[in-house]
Amino acid sequence: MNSIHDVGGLHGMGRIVIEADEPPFHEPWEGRMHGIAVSCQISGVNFTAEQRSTIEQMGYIAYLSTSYYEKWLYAYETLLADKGIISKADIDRRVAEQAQALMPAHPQEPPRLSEYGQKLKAVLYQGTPHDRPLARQPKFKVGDLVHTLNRNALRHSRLPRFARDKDGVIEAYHGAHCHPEPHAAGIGDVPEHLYCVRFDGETLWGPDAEAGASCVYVDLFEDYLAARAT
Amino acid sequence: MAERPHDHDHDHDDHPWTPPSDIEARVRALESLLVEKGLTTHDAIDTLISAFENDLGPMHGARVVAKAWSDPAYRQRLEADGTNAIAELGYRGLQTEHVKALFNSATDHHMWVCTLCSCYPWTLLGIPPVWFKSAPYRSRVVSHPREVLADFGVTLDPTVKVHVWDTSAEQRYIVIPERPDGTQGFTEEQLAALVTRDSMIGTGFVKRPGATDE
Repeated sequence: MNSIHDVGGLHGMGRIVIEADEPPFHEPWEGRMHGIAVSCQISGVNFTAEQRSTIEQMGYIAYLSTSYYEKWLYAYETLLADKGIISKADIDRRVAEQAQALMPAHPQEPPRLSEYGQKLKAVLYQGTPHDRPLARQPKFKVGDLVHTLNRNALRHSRLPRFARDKDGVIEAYHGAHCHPEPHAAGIGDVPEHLYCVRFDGETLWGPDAEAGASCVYVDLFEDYLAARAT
Repeated sequence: MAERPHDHDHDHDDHPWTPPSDIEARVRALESLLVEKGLTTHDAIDTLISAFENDLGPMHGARVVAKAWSDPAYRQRLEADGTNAIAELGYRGLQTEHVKALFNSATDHHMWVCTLCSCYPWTLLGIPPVWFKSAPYRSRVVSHPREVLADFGVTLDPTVKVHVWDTSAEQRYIVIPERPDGTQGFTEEQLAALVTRDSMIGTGFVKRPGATDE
């Protein structure tokens, strides 16, 4: 989807603001929002790609004027409502009914963790690998010349605009990973071969490329790529 | 693939979504509703926050760098298979399932970004800084990496080639900076103390030995 999340190569986004000694979470609710997102994924509510895809649909103004965790709240309010699990009215009602309470600032892991807590902790520390077996052989090998497709579908995609319709070279093969598009559509695991593709700075930016040698590598699925002869 | 049906009431540009003024109350309400539906528990969320605030952070990545500097056999394993070499030190987990190490040298400088969202190896480097998640860095670093480096106070020799890695899938990256001079005989702990978060993203240098400030 050609939305504002796909910022690579855009101009005029402002200066980089670096915060010294930045904490992981700036407010207690940010950490809880992170926990809510990870919980929903562990509990099978959604794939990570659905969270990303929902954020991509929030609109330019909202996207650029909200923080990282504000976007996550938008994503979970929206996708939980879309899935018929929790409506925005349910949340409104709970906000009105719940007792005033301060959110604890730095919660600790309790000495005796619930079964669900143990499960979340195990996933946090073990991860959920994204590679899957795929019988079909990879079409490309390291060093192959490829051209990226010119794709503009109105759906989740992990082919950034700056890397579309461009000549590149296969730098590495990562194995077959779950394709993010079926994940974003809530369909499930569909493995596809994943490559790292190298692009020269001049190929991407033409005569306006920054002075000095540079190249950009993008991890791309096989169905985003075509072979080229020269 | 079929388009997702567009029958839900997303907010669009005519009514841009704005964060609620009572955002803390709203997140608390959402959490309690999820708990009632059996989709999370309060102690699970407490545990995640505590892990990110107390355990998971750039000191893990720094240990990987320090070991790569001091153990040539480990460096080889890290080059060949980043994921498993990093797991040898006990580091794996969410958003750290697939990791490739990028080795800086006198002729090549590596840095990474997620232009499409904010992908980051959480259990190796912790929660990403706000600048990493924001549009100014994500938009500019692919087209103007040297300008971006200058914003971080990093100037490279013009002959150095800059390699920018965009984490557009679930493959994650860590930069292994060059070992600084004057560190002969340093233990892995002493070396790890020199490694900054930004030096592992590629936007900063390691600390000089003996330097007291950041």
